[in-house]
Amino acid sequence: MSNGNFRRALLDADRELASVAFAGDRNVRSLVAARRSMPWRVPALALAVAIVILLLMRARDREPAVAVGFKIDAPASSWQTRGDEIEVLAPTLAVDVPGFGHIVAERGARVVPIDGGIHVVGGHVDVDVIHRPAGIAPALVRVSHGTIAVLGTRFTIEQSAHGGRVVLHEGRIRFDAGGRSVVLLAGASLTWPLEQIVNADTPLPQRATSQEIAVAPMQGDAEPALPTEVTPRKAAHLDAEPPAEVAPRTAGHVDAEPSVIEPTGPTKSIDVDRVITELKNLRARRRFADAVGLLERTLSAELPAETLERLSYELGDIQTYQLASPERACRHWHLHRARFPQGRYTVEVDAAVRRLGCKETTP
Amino acid sequence: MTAALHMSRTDSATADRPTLEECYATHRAFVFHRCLRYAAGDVAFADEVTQEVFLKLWEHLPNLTDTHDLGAWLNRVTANLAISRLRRERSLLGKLHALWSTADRADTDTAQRVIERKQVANQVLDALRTLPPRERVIICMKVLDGASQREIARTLDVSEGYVSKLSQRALQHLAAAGWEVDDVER
Repeated sequence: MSNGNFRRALLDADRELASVAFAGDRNVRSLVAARRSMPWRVPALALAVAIVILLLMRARDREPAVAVGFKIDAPASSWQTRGDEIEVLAPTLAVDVPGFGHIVAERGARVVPIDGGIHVVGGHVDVDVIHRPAGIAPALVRVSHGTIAVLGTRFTIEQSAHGGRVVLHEGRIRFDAGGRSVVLLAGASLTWPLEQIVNADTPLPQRATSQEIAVAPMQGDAEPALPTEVTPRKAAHLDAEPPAEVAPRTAGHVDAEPSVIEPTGPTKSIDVDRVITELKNLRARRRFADAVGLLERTLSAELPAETLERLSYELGDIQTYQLASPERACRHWHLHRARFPQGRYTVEVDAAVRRLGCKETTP
Repeated sequence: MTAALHMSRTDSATADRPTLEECYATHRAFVFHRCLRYAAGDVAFADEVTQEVFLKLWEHLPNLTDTHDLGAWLNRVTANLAISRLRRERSLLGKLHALWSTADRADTDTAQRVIERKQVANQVLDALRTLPPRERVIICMKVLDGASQREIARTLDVSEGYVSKLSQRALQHLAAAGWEVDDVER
């Protein structure tokens, strides 16, 4: 079936088209302005859609997950499970352990839930145990060479393939290993395996500036032994002074007092290693105001200039980047520069000052 | 800012160079009509391409050496912009964009409404719409402007052989659709 002559039909149609008025007959300036904004629409729409998708994915990723008995409020990409074990992939990972407490583990740390607590297979783990009412069994943290019975406290564990160390920040813990039992109070630290520490000639495995405790075998077995008090000493003193030894306990010594190791020394003395650990801990928990308080207290102590500079830098860093408190930060950087004119962190301090837009005259 | 920019361009123009407003007043009907042809009667399309053509003119006017032959320049730009836009509208992104800009088109009329009683005109515009963008423009130039193959090739910046090939293909397509195309030069 023929539609007719194409040329004639098209010419007729074109005459009709010629009668159509130009709908967009506007001022040429508004035309130019309108057209200039048009090309942004599609990319803007695509960008908006991409952002929404990204936010949705991120929101889904951030939903608290329960894995091998741990409750984790962090992106799924920051950890992985291997059997009963959880391994940390992010720089730090906060994990709730129901009925036990809260841990902050650093990258590479591996933790397994056990009955009544956790087993630190490896890595650096900060532990914050929930308060346990009297009469309830202590929470347990198993490490390579023993078990820490937690009596309501906060502490840090570093576990390597050959041994480890616990630094106690708050409260009281008891370390049980074979026939020994040691109680630590806040400020003390303990390194395992214990045999290596008993020998005063053996060099300390790591962080030798902390208060380390030398403990001898005690009598007793499964139940907590209650030996005499032991005073923690500066690690540097271990060679000069023999470690306090506690007699091995026997099975019948259940009712005796545990060996309690308390921090001593001048009340104003500062354990920098501990401050750094505490600072790291507070930063991991995003308790920046507490971290600032800790640093300000520490900076008033008599410490080597290099240490003071480092701590001063940390303080300014938190005020600049975490607390976003430009006035305080600028004031701090001003004082920092005055105090450490040839400092080791000049580049970083300059960058922070530039970022804050500090005036050079800020008091 | 746009106005300021516009003024600076106008100021920089030589004394005998027309301003954008003058070009717009003189040529907008011509450009719009060309756009309507290539769009097979889609007024919204023609409106937007017309604006695009004058935006291009705004960008190039200070550098145009021969403003006396502005009609030919506009014809070339109109054809090429129409082809680009027709191609884009056929793509998935173009269909999404059409959905996005529906609101803009709501206040514009369509040619179909204006010529709804012209049955044959509608049919021929429908047939034109079935052709690919470049073939559509070539057929319009050939039939409505009486342009030679050489002129079309120069306007679209393609070879004469390619124009001939596309023209043949378009005419075959129209003939297959039931149109008499014997009097259209091949």
